[in-house]
Amino acid sequence: MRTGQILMALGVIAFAIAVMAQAASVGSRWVEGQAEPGFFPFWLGALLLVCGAIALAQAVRLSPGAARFFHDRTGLASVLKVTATAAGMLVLTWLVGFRLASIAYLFVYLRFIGKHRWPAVIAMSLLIPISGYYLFERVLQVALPRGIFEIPWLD
Amino acid sequence: MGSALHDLSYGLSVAAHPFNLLAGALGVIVGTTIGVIPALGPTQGAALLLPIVFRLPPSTGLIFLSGLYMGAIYGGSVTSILFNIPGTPMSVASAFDGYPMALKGKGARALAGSALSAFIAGTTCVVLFTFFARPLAEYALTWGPPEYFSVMVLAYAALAGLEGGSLVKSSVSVLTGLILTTIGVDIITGMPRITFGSTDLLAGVKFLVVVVGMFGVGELLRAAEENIMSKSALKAKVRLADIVGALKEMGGYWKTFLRSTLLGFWIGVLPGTGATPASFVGYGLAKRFSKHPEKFGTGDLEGVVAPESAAASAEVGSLLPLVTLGIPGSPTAAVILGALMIWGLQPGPLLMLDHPEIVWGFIASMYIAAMLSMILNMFAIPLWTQILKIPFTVQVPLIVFLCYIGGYTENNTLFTMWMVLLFGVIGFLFKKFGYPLSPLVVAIVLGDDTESSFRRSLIMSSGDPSVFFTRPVSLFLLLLALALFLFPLVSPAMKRFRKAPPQSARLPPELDSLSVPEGAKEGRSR
Repeated sequence: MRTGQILMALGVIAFAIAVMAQAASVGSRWVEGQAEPGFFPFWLGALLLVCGAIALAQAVRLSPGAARFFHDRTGLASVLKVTATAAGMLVLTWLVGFRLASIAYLFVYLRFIGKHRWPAVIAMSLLIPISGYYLFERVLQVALPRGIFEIPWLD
Repeated sequence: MGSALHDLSYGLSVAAHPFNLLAGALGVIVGTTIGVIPALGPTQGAALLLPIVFRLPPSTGLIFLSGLYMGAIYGGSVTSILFNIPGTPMSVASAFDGYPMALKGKGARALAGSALSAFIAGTTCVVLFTFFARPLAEYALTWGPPEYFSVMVLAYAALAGLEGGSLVKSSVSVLTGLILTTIGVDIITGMPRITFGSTDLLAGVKFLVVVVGMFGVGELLRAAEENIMSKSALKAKVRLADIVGALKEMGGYWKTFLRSTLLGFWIGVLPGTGATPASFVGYGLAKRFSKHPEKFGTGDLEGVVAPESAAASAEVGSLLPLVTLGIPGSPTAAVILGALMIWGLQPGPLLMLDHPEIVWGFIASMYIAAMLSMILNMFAIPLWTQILKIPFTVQVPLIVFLCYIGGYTENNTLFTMWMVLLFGVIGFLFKKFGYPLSPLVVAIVLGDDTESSFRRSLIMSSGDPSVFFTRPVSLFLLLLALALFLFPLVSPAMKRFRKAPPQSARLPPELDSLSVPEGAKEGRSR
């Protein structure tokens, strides 16, 4: 947890510096009676830098090994499973479009991570995406993302 | 007095339109479902459904949101009392005595007591609200940019100071939220900034994306890690006798009730804070003033009445600054503010004059929603407890699916879906390391206004920052902000009564950093 806290504080510091640099590049001073675009974000970044530094100092003083970031491997594994499958779905969306990707995602998650029975898996992985499209594409007129290799779809 | 009653009855006539009533009832049902599911609370629920809600007309959408809100709060209490899994952070304190009551077989009475105290406190506060709203809004019309900037500083200070946790970490959260709103095109000069060279970031980082990511995906990751779904339920069915019994018993606690209600209302009015701190303060004070503090935590109805009435009052109170000043009093109020902005309505003193039907309709719909929620839910508890049986592995893909679509509707690019996932991971890390999320959410909603009022004030004074300190109202607000910000440093006593729960290690996420992380971990709270 100590290492994690230190890394987190370093992340905050890095973000603060990046924001300050970005803000400075568009002008962060006070000219001609008004603020340049980078003025407000620059000073926010500066304040964030100060907070990040204090957080870092506090983190360094923590006793090492007081608590682990993850209790055990199951915790880490389940977080990774959720994140990886969710990211995988977005890659698939980029490739074949949201409609097919969401069916594949639900199917894989329910069957291989949830280990549900086949009939339930098939029913849910068809029912949820299809009702989703109906609601969003048809009723609410939101065009869900299409992929590079969009497969013609029976609407 | 007369005008306040007139306003409220006007609002009731708007909200009681059959179509709106239906929307409210639907909101209650959806909201209770969301509240019962441990990975979702009212803020997440409102955020997830916003893409649908903002396609409804504002008055219908708002009553749906009110119903959702009330339902979610109620659903949270049900799981809190029956399962010791608080469905929402504000129902954590209800578990302190509610769960022991359920263990003793008095679960039905605890549930009836919780619903009744929330309802009665909410009603009382709607009346308080009605009297304060118009004068406050009229007063706020006299404000200039410096006062607005100062009141927003007050909101951030209150959030950072009263959330519990580390001041530095809360400040990081506020600042990160503010910085996120500066990404994209500068509203005053029209120049792009902080885009890190990405064209996708030109459109800015929208609040919906951040909220859906952090609260939707982020909470899911947290739930996945702590594997919360393995708990057995206690059976409870509320009968009329339980309601009568609870009412009779509550009669003896009228002092606690009154204290919690008034206190909760003012904690809610204070910009930025909300029901969660109110529920802890309500519980803590009830215990401190009680003649028998030792019976708290053993399953006493007073320990359910105190936090529930404070939380419900704070929820109503938090809408007062939202409606009159455009400053949300709680994270959920921030989401509602976001919805109003999507509808093109700018909350603030003028909204009340220009769109009285929206403001009063909204207030009345809170009231109707509270009533609907009580009626629909009191007798449907066995049904709601079934929802907890939905396996977590089904909830995960379903919620991820909804979060992606929710974020996508913001500006229809695949990039926003990646941002939802990214903010989910960031939200998870924030929570893990004790950086509270609600300050960030409030900051991201208020960010644009904060910046423009800051810059306009400086333009007024031709760059002289003393403008914030020389105007009396602005100075007063800033001093109040300073006091609230430093509150945790000067008042360690506060910590003591926040820690009131004797037997339960659960704390809401905002208060996580108060306790040793290990302590808070064994029982999951959200």
